Amino acid sequence: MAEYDSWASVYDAWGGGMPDDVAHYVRLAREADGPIVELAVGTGRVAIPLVRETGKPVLGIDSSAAMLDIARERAAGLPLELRLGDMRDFELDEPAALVYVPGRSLLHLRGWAEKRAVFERVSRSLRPGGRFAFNAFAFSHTVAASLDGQTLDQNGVVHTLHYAVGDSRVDISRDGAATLHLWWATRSEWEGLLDVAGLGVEALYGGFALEPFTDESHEFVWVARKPS
Amino acid sequence: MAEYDVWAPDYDDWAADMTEDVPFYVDLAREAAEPIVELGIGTGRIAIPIARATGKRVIGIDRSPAMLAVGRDRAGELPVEFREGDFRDFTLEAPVDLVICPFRALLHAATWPDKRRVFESVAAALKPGGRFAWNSFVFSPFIAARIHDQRQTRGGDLWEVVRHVPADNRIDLTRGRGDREDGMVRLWWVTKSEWEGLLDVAGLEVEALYGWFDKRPFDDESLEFVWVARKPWA
Repeated sequence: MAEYDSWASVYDAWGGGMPDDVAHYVRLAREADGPIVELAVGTGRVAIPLVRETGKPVLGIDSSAAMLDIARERAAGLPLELRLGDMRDFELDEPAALVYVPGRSLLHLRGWAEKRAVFERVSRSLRPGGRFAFNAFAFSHTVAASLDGQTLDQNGVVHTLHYAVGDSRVDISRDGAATLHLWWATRSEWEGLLDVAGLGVEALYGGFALEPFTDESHEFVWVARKPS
Repeated sequence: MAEYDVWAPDYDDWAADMTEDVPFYVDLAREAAEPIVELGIGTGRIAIPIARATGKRVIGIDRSPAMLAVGRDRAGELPVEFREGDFRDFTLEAPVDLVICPFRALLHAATWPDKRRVFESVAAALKPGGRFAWNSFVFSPFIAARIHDQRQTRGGDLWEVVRHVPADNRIDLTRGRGDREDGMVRLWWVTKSEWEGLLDVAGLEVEALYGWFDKRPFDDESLEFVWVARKPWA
């Protein structure tokens, strides 16, 4: 989508504050005995090291042509297929053993209906026993209250945050670029999305050291499974 | 449940700030055939004015015998029936026109399966075209950051301390009066998107989402969800 195109050139710098999720998704990819798909592959921040370390082919889907252009250039010679598409209605040629969404990208989905569409699409795309893995931040009122209205410099990417509480939304604006939105989701809503998609929870970790999720956790690290 | 029982004697003092919801729910009751069903009826703060204003029968369900006892006493001869029960799996003798759940009572349901059961029970209890109306606060990080762990007074010598547990979208609320601590209850806050999901899985349609009981539209700055949903005719 066009709003992500305008962030492509700074996306990796901006995402530099994310938790280090690569090793976790590499491990899941090693355990997958079939096709692997990354949704919202973006510039290939996770997919490229994952393909390099596992040697396995990956299909990456993203809605931003500009992001994919960067990924394609970086992935030259690697078995990473990059496809322009919408995670709400993608189709695979054969069922996947692993679909994963790193980098909190599911938070870009607006409202229940969009999220439900993605979870159902993922469920249909998995082979029995296949896994769906994703991560997202756990919304923190202290973080929100301290960042609302602030202009931040994240590795040279100057952007301003605004929290719209009624819509559980964060607006991220930057000069010369489209405003991006994130919608925070609760544990209960993630459970609901897995429920309607017929996916079972294999694990909920509180971080990428695979520590248990507790009342003190800041990150949801979900591994779900389609029943065999 | 016991944790609500300890609140019963002081509950109405504690809820005294909330009055604007009464006419909203009374108006919905006027448009519905009896009996009206209220989930989390408590001491009858809403049900009693409904019965008085409309003359219609109200069936109220609550898990706290102590709350129900206060309500029964207060309702006197009014047609309000106080039933002890769990709103996750209540059943009625016949489908009804209107189910209400005022005063954020749905936030006492802890998990998705709990909430899903409530919404499915409500959908099963409604006639085609029947309505489900409830309200809950919008979780505001700004309010949360301001009041977290602070002791607040709430009318007379009543006080409460609020602790927020964001990982579990939970609010632990400890209450007391004077030197006495009366125990803790937990609330789990819900986003707009999750409410939409609960309506979706229960097969209910949104008739209106207001930002307050005066029926102003819900917007990004709203601090209350006031939902009116409907069971489809077909």
